[in-house]
Amino acid sequence: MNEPIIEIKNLVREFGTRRALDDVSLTIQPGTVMGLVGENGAGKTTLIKHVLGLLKAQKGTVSVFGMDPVSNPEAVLSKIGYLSEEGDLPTWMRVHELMRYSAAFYPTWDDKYAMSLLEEFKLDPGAKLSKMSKGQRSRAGLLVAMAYRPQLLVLDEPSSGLDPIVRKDILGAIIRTIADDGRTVLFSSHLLSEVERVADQISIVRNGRILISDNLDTVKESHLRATLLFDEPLTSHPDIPGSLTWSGGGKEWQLTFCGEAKSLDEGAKQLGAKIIERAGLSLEEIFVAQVGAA
Amino acid sequence: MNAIVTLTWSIWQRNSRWLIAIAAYFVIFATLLAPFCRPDRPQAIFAIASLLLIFCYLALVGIFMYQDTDVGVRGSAYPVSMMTLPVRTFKLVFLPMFLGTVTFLGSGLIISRVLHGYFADFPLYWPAVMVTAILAMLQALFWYPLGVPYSKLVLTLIGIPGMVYLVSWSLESSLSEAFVCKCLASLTVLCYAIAYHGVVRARRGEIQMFTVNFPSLDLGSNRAVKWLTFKDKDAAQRWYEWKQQGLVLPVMVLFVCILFYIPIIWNSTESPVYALGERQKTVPMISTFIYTYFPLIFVAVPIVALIVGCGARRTDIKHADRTFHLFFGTRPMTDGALVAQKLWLALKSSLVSWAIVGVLLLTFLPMPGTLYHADTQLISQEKIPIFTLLQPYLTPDLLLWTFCAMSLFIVGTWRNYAIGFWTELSGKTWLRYGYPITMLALIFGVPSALGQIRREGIEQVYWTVLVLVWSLIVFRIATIVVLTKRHLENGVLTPRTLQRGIMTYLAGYAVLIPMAYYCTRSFRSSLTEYIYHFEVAATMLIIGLTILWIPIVRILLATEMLHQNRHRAS
Repeated sequence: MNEPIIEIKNLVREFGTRRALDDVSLTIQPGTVMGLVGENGAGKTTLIKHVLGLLKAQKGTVSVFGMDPVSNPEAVLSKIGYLSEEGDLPTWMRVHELMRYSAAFYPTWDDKYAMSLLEEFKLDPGAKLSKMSKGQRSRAGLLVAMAYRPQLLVLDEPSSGLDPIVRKDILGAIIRTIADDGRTVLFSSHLLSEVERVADQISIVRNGRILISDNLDTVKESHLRATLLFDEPLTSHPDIPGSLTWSGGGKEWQLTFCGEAKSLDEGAKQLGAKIIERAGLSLEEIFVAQVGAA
Repeated sequence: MNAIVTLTWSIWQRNSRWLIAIAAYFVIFATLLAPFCRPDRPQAIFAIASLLLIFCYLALVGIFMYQDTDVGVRGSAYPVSMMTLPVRTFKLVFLPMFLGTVTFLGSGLIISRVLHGYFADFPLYWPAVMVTAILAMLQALFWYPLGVPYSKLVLTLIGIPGMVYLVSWSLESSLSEAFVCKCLASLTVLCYAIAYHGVVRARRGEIQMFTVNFPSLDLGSNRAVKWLTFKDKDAAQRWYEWKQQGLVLPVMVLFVCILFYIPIIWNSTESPVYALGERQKTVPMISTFIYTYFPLIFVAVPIVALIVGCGARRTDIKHADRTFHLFFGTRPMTDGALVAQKLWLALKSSLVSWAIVGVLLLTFLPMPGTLYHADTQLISQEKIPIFTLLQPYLTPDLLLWTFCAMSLFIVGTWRNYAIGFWTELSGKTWLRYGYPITMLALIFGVPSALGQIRREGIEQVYWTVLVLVWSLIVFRIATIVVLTKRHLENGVLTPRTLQRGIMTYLAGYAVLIPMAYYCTRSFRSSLTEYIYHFEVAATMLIIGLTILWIPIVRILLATEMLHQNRHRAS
């Protein structure tokens, strides 16, 4: 097995009395597209800042490309392409200045590729970033994050507040990066349909803890919705190990379930109920169920 | 009425800590510090107290201007969030202006009255009316949408000294204090009207923006793009630093020079330059203004550098939480390399600033001067260019001394610029404000305190200072060792950078110590008669002071602070 690109072990981060990350462990293998999903304030950006070395681990360890990003910012950051939702680009620069400036930092900068992205994103090289729309600025940020073909592309809520066209460009960029020698992508989003489209691994974060971190297909296979029919009406929902949420009443109850289908069958049998309907869940439904249950 | 109460409460709510601190200082000043204004009391204390009083008024200006925007803003600097309140414009504008007027006028009159009680020559009314007018002028200037970038800054830099100069000139021209106060009050009322009109226009969106549209660039063929290539990432980061704030110091120096130049136009008095030879038969006479006030620019440039270096316009730090912008924080460079580019920026800005002063100096040379005949006490009628007048005095010794002194001023400007980096990079607000205030207080206070020393006590003070200086050097070496070791362990410094740094510092000392020794010869000889074994001791003092003068610890601290703030542990 290859050495992981990112390896986080038992990471804890507190801001004052608030625990932003609570014993987080996460491993990302090369060539993976990891979607980090969670509510606002769940700890996604804090986790990403640890990966970039902008926060130092209070407890636990963070290793990126086998190095500590705090001790080796130069070596680690030169292999990472990063785009944030905050739009921290220096707005006094023009697009061509941003390109030339960024090119100097990365020996792998590919001018031809940069030019093709410039054309594709329809960016005016002479335009000042301060005069551009948020979407155009994101495209410019994406251009300089991708043009040196980084080994790891980190996108923190890249499509937040953007129109569908820009979102499409960003997703296209992620797909292209994956196709490009199997590079690694870590991106956080609460637009779950996007994550579902491109991620092959997901991690659901809530209140600083990772609820689930697994292959997307495995996650989807392990979650389902079922409708149970009881012989007698029930005043409250029963309990089946692995159930996340319950709704309904009387004889008919719906539940979302996490685990093996066989366990659900056994649980229903023990309660004397029949499973009259069974269906898979979308990522959004899984997220709502997991977050609702946590 | 509710709107007025709410707006007043919001000003208090936002600034209560500052307002309480300022009010407390006013009370301390009026009760404990004001007596030191008397000429027979230690002037150093009053100098520092007055400086802090000025900072209090500057803080009050910030509070009553709602100033939270860039000084280069083209539109109105009145907060947009307040413009959307369902409150009529005159309440939005006049309330902070009125509260400001009451605060400035009230506190100014009380302080003037107190100082007048201790020192009868202190004026009673005009200082208070003038600071009130200055506040109203700034409110009008910043709230009016002028449409031209940096026009507000330019007008402020011209307006404030202009007003102070006009008031001083009016009073010296025998105009009555009452008349001057009436003029200033009228100006204040006019500013109320301008501010109101400005906010009305800004609220309606009637803002004419003056912009320069540059043609679009064709990336493949444009020369500008080809020009903008960087040798390596250090060069790219240097460009970034320069574009961010490289011109701030030179522009401020340029304004100081322009402000200095204006009075020369109408001030035609001349003074003999005794410094070139008091006992000579003929002494050159040049413009009094140049002779008396030009040296102030030499002092002003390093002081302005100190202020700029402490973060007058640092845009790689977020205003809210003082952490770095992600763009800056994610540059793939070591912390040491990022600080090194800032040091380079300080050097380039200092050189450009002094080049501006040099150009100003050159423009004096063709100006006319005369000759003063000491024996007959007559002034010749013939007008001779200053350059020709000074030519006989340009000995190799004087030229060498001037070169050394200028070099020390340039290094001093760089030094002052660079020593503030650690406070800004620390991300700690109390350091950012506290450090420059303390430094300025020391700059103004220490010379004043030294002036109080009686001649009989000089030798004792001298030896104490010498011991203190060398003790500080020992302490400094220990700190350098600790910080360097830490930096090497953290990977902030590489052995190669350390080696280069040591070589640079040693080379710097090898040049600067003889320069400082040469430039201070008259100071040293003036003390000879008071101090036993003077030559040895003076050499030790000059070497010690030069070693302390070159900032090593604060530059190492800048790297440490950047490391802490860039990779926050808490």
